[in-house]
Amino acid sequence: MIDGIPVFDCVIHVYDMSDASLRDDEPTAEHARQHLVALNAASRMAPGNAGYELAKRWSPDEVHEAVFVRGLTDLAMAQTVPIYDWFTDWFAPVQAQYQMAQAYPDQVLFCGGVDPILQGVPEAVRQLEIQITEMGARSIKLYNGHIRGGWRCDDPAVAYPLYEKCQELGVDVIQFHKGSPFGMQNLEELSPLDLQKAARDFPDLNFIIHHAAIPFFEETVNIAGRFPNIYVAMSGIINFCLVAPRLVGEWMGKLLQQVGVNKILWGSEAALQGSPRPFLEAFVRDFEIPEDLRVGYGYPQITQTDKELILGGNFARLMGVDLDAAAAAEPAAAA
Amino acid sequence: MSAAVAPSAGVEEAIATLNLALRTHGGSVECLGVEDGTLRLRMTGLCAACLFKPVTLEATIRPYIRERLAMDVTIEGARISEEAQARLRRALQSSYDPPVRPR
Repeated sequence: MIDGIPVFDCVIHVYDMSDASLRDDEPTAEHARQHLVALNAASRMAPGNAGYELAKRWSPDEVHEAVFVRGLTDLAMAQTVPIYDWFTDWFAPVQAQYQMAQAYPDQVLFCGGVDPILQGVPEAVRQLEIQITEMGARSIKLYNGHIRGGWRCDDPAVAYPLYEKCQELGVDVIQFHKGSPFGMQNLEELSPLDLQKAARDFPDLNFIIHHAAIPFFEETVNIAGRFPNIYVAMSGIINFCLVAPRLVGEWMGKLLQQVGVNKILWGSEAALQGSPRPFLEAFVRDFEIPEDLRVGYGYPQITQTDKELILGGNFARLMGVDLDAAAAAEPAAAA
Repeated sequence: MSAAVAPSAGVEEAIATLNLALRTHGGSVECLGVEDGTLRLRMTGLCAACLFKPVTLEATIRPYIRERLAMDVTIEGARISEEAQARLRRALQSSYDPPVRPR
């Protein structure tokens, strides 16, 4: 909680970027890992986030310390990331996220993940069932833009069996990494355009576009503005408040104006960018839509109520969680 | 913020009438509920991603809902700054003035 606002982080990861998981059969693997580690550069200016090692297998306790002990966060979702292109045990392994949810059940929700090409559709569906019914997955994270084996989110043969299984088992929030390419992969499969047909064909499911699909931001705004079941997660990019607040003002202003505050979600991407604390402080205490953007583009000023919805209210509503009760039950964050 | 409540029959009637006008835009509005005395609407059809949503809100929807239901209204994804609202109101006010004919 920060300044009375409860925080529900929609995306944290227990990463594995260790040497042991780095694929030795993929020539671009080390380049991609270096790219991922470099994403931490933006946070190194923040006291407390400097100098830690990322190219390793994180433990749930380390991520918990960054997010909950130091990070002003009340609830978070630990998300699997099925990026197998460069890591044998995936970028954020299923088991590591599950272990974190098991270790901190009052603070962490487990988000599973599968890949229908790597695993094959029948096995991916089987794994989904295990993750939801036996491991308690509350949502599912998918990644379709691989360097080999990419697939479309609107492919009835590949993607739809996953959605149907989620729907059958009562999981109605499907999340996609979009935009934000790593290493030397192709960008086009990370466009959010292929979520339109999926959202149309599955109106009872909610789809989350992570990273606002930047550099496909304009497409994301247009799609989320038209489809009631598509949400925008500002995962890892509100963090730019410290580096480029005007850029965040342009993104946030346009989202508030054209998509609506009820569909914007906070995600820290911890532990990759360090503890969320400095980003939360910058967003809550200092961030506003600059006057020239309000006058010149008509972007609305961001309010305290907006920040409450973005930082947790919206994701709590999507996940059916009583955030106020959860926040009241948590011990105070470390000073 | 209180939870949204279901619209009354009067609200539904007003929206149905409003939609007769909005069909000329190729779109319509649907009701998301009433929250803290404010009617929450979502635009559909061709209006859904139209950049002129705020104009339709200020020129047509808000005046009509205020007159008919005596409540304020918001449109999801059509929120603009106070500066832009003031500019729109000024422009819309002058649009009702009689045309100035050249002498």
